[in-house]
Amino acid sequence: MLKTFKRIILELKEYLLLVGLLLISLFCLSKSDKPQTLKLQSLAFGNYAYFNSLFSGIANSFASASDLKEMKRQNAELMLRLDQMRQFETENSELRRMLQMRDSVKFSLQPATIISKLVARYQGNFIINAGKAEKVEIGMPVITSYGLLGLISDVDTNFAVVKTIKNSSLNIAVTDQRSKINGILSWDGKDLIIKNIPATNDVKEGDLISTSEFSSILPPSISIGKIVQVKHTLEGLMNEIIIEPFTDFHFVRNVFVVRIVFSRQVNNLEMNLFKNKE
Amino acid sequence: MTKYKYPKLFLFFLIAVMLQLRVVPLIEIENVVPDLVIIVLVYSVLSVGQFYGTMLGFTYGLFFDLFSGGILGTAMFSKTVAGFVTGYFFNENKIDFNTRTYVFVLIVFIIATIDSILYTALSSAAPKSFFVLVLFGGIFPGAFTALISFPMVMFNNKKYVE
Repeated sequence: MLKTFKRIILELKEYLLLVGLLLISLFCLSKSDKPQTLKLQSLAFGNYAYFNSLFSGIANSFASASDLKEMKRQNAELMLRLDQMRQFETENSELRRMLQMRDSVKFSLQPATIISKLVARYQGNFIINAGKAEKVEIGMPVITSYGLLGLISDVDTNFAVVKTIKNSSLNIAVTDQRSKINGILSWDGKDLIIKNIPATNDVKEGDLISTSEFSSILPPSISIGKIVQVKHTLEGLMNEIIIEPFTDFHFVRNVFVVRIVFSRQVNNLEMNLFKNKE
Repeated sequence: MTKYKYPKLFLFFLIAVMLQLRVVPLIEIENVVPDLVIIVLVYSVLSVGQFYGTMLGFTYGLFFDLFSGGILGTAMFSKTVAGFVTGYFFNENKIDFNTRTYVFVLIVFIIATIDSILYTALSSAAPKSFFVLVLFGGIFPGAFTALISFPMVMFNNKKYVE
């Protein structure tokens, strides 16, 4: 009996191993957003990123000088301010007076370099060389001098993972800067797309798209891209809008982390309101 | 090779991961990229067999998920299956033939396609259709990976013929 059992196990060992390992994989997949798993992942990518950055240092020994970095930082700051200006332009004079207060808000930018890119059809993740030591936190937006790149999704001491806007699990509330139409931007594996915009809404090719004031994870008015196509769906009631991002994901290398966790600010605000009610 | 077989294979894997996450994004075409880890995996499995190959696939996938910051479990699953399926091409008497001739490119294409379909299906919220998934999420990346494995075979093929 035992012999037969042993023989069966030996004969089927490849299949048993396969089933066992696949079950472990599926278990990990189901627990991938649990804190313990994220901690393990942070530890592993932190160590990998450290070794990777050593090679990166050698490769970049002839790279840009510090003044070029400073210029890029200024460029990114100007981009953020320009986005705000664009918004002001479309408001009436009364709102503009009120918004001038927001114009004085200064963003604290942390420069960083991309040291690793995971390019897959539905999973766009970059690793940057700035982490907890630089006061980078989960939820902070990451920008280039052209526009939004993504959001910090994981942080280690010296490194952080950026979930880019080309990641199907990231949905962002956006707005058309001209007509103020709001929508949800997502990545469908091929295009950045805003779905379910009523056909009667005023959206045109060339309109600039930025983060919306309704976004709960990002501050408003960060440029994302421009509309390149307005697709009419078969039903004819809804449009799908294709966006071309300003940031070139192919060649992007230097980025800035905006040191603001917008969702926390919103949460705090909501809590204050709640407290006031009490 | 025999004495330090597994450390060597793991070293190849680490080099492949580094190239995959640093160099490969530069040759991306419409979000389609070759998978260097699969090339190393196929080579490894054709050298060690199905049982150890399945374990190697699992290990490569686990470390790839951990290093890349991607969803833990996706590469683990797809590369375990890839390692297992590659095992069917293993033949102890034909290791050189399988790894040094153009048969290798064909095996890489088949395995990379399977791996990419599984990886895409697991990492995507909702693929538009099965056809899109197979073509853009499987065959294109598979063909690109096979293309990248060509120079490796051309170099090894000369040695094999000699």
